[in-house]
Order: sequence, then C-alpha cells, then structure tokens
Amino acid sequence: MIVRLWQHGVSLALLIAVWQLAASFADLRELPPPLSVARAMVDGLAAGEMLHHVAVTLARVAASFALAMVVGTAVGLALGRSALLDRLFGGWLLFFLNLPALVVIILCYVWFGLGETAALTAVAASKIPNVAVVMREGARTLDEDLRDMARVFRFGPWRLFRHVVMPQLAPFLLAAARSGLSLIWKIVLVVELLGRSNGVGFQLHVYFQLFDVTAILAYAMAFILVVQAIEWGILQPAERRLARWRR
Amino acid sequence: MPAGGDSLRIAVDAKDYPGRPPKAVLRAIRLEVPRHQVVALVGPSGCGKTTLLNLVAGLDDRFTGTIHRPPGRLAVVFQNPRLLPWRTVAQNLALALPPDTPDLDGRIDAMLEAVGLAGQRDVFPNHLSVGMQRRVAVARAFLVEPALLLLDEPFVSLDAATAERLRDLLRDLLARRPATVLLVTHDLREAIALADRLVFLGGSPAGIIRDVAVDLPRRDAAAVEAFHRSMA
Ligand SMILES: Nc1ncnc2c1ncn2[C@@H]1O[C@H](COP(=O)(O)OP(=O)(O)OP(=O)(O)O)[C@@H](O)[C@H]1O
Ligand SMILES: [Mg+2]
Repeated sequence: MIVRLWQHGVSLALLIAVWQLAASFADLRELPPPLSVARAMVDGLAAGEMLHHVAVTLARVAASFALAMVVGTAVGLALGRSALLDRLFGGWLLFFLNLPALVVIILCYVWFGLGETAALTAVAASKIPNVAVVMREGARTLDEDLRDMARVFRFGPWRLFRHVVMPQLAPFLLAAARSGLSLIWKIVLVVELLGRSNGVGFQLHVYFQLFDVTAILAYAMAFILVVQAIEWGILQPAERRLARWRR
Repeated sequence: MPAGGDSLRIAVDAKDYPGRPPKAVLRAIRLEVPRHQVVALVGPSGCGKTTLLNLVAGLDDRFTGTIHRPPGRLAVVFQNPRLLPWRTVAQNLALALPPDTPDLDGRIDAMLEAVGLAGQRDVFPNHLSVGMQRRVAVARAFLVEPALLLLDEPFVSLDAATAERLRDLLRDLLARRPATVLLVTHDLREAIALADRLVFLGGSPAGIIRDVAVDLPRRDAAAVEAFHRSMA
C-alpha cells in the first residue's frame, strides 16, 4: 500500500515536471506552468464562482447518471430475462449504441427546447444503451441453482432480490456505473457547451473564446480532482466491499 | 401403513430432457412413501436420481404424471452445496427461516455446533473446505425442521468419521422430529444404516427395479454388514 502510494506520487511528480519543462519552452499564454494553473484554481474556488459551476455540473452528472442507471438497468434486465424481448428489441439496442452522442444531444435540444430537461435527457439517453448491454449480460448469468435453492427455502420475492439476485448483479452494476460515469462526465460538458448558460462546459466555452488557457486548465484540474474523489471515496470502497467474500 | 393424505405419492409417467433426439430419463415410476418413512434411492451415476429429486421438490414441472407432497415445509440438501457465497455461514442459515423466528441466533448456533462448525459462524462459504460447505448445507436443511427432506448424496466428500457423525446426527434429529425422507446415495451400507426402505433405480430410461424393506431392530455395524451380505 505504502509502496503503491509512493509510485503514484513519483508518477504524478514526473507529469508535473514534464509540464513545467514544456511550459518553459512554450508561450505563456498557450501553456502556462503548473503553479499558475494551481493558483488560478485556488483563486477561482475562493471566489466561489468556480465552485458554483462545478456544483451545477456535478448535479447534472448525478441526475442524468441516476436516470441512465435506472432505465438502463430496467431495460437490460428485461432483455436478459426474456428471450422474446431480446429478439424483438436487441437490434434497437445495437442501433442506439452506435448513435453518436452528439446526434442525441442536438435532437434533444431541437425536440425539447434548450432547457434542463432536454440536457438531462440527452445525457441519460446516450448512456442508457451501454448500461442496458452490461446489465443484460448480468441478467443472463444469474445462477439457476441458487434460484431453485431460494425457492425451496421460501425466500420470497424480497429476500430473493436482496440476497440472491442483487449480489450477482452488483459487479455488473459497478462496471456499468464506472464506464457510465466516465462517459457522462464528458457528455455533460458537451451538453453544457451547446445549450446551457452555466456549468463547467459553459465556462470552458467562455474561456475558449477569451483564449484563456490558464482558466481552462484550472477548470480541467478542478474537474479531475472531483472525479478522483468520487473514484477513491465511492467506487473503490464499493468494489472492496463487493470483493470481501471472494477467495 | 394406511395410505393417508400425508404420504408422499410419486407417479411419474415420463420425464424427458428436450434435445435432438429428446433424452428419456425416467419412465413409469410409482412410489408411495408413508409419512415419516426414510427411503434410500440407490442407482448408478447418471440414471436420473437428481432428476427425480428435482421433480419431487417441485423445481421442475416439465414431466407427465403427478406428485403429491405431504403438507409442511420442504428442505433439500442439493448435490452441490448451493450456499450464497456473499453471505456468511450464519446468514445463509438465517435466510432459510422466516425473519420472525423466535431465538433465531440460538437455533443457528446450536445447529452449527451439532455439525461441528461452531467456530465458523461468520465465515464466508468460499473460505471453507468443500466438506465444510456440505455440512453447512446439511445444517440449513435440518434447521427448517421439514416435513419432507430430500438429500442428494449429502455425505460424500467427507472423511469417514465426519460422515458417520452426520449420519448419527440425521438419525438423532429424525428421532426427535420425524420427517419423510428421500435419501440419494451410492453407498449401499449407508443406505442400510439409515433407511427403512431401499428403492433401486435402473435401466435407461430409469424405473424402479427393486424395492426392499430394511427391518433391522438395531443398526450397528454388524447388523448392517449382515443385511448387506444377505442382499447379494
Ligand atoms: N438439464 C439437463 N438437460 C439434459 N439432460 C440432462 C439434464 N440434467 C440431467 N440430464 C441427463 O439426465 C440423466 C440423469 O441425470 P441425473 O443428474 O438425474 O443423474 P443422477 O442419477 O443424479 O447421477 P449422479 O449420481 O451422477 O448424480 C443424465 O444422463 C444426464 O445426462
Ligand atoms: Mg445426481
């Protein structure tokens, strides 16, 4: 553990060193050194403005992530458990899976107007097929032997769900959540850039027009910090908890 | 014994597994097991013993015929232990009983003690040996105090002493709380030691080829051995 932490530290320090070196050769406006970016980030956070935009983006990510997970899981389980539904709608899934997110976003804005509903729908909709595909796989691998056992010992629907089905789906849910989150982060930024007037995506757009690379990098850093915090604070502990019973 | 509504009545005309061609596994099996009788099902590997138990357990209804189960709870010790790997030993046992069972923990502890797993209460099944997992499965079945108990080779992969202890435990528990029992086994001596009646399955598709009452007053090693010799 300590060694791993060390290696992470060295790797990070190396990255910063390379950045610093590159910055010393480049134009200050095009690639500012790490320290200026860090200072810009701290200033932005202190002013409260950056915090506000990051929070708005975070809320959008949370809402569309929840929507995508719930709908995607429901669709995936239905297709995984019913061969008929899978034959009927499995093809649709493939179609939506290959539909570019940008097309979904534009269509949502056109159909539902430039509002919050359209934004959230667009993000969720571009993620739902991925979640559905992963959860369909999970539903297909449910253990029949354990289901029979649960029937013999009269588990009832709730115990069956909580103690037999959920633990089998959990790794799939986590995989879907993980890949879902990393994708949704990116799509939310695009959605904000195209049709919202707040959030990190909107701010990036503003600073792009101002050609303010320092601010753009400061936002990117703040963003990465939040994503890492979620990774270390939520996803990895969840994974460890899931692995407890394994050999 | 009179044929009451409480006996287990098996009437399987045909059980096939689908395929090309379909596999005929069981044919014309008629078996009436009076209340609280212990029947050992003996037959070669692959003849359809597990298939028959699945029908009796009500887990497979793709057959022609009828099965009448005695009223009350059912418990099964499956051929593989079928424990929930993500729940501890004690949780696995607790899930077999209704949540409002009085003195749930006390009963679980007593049962674990009886199968020699007192120290393994909070261990995950994957961290136990196969033989220990098997004992947990046996404990789970005993714990529900079933009216009908189905055991699919419950004492294999245990050392002779542990198997003997569990056989004693089964006899003990049945003496205290009788149940109708179907016990699948390869081991004829084990069958003689435990059962009131031996039912031999054979042929392909399988049917009942022999039905022998075991009326031994005492089941010590010598008596079992003598009966075993008399059957040949
Ligand atoms: N799900 C299934 N689909 C198709 N065939 C099956 C299935 N289950 C069992 N069989 C076949 O049915 C026959 C009986 O199987 P079964 O498991 O009942 O045997 P068994 O008597 O319990 O054997 P063993 O003593 O080895 O456990 C076997 O020939 C097997 O190949
Ligand atoms: Mg079998």
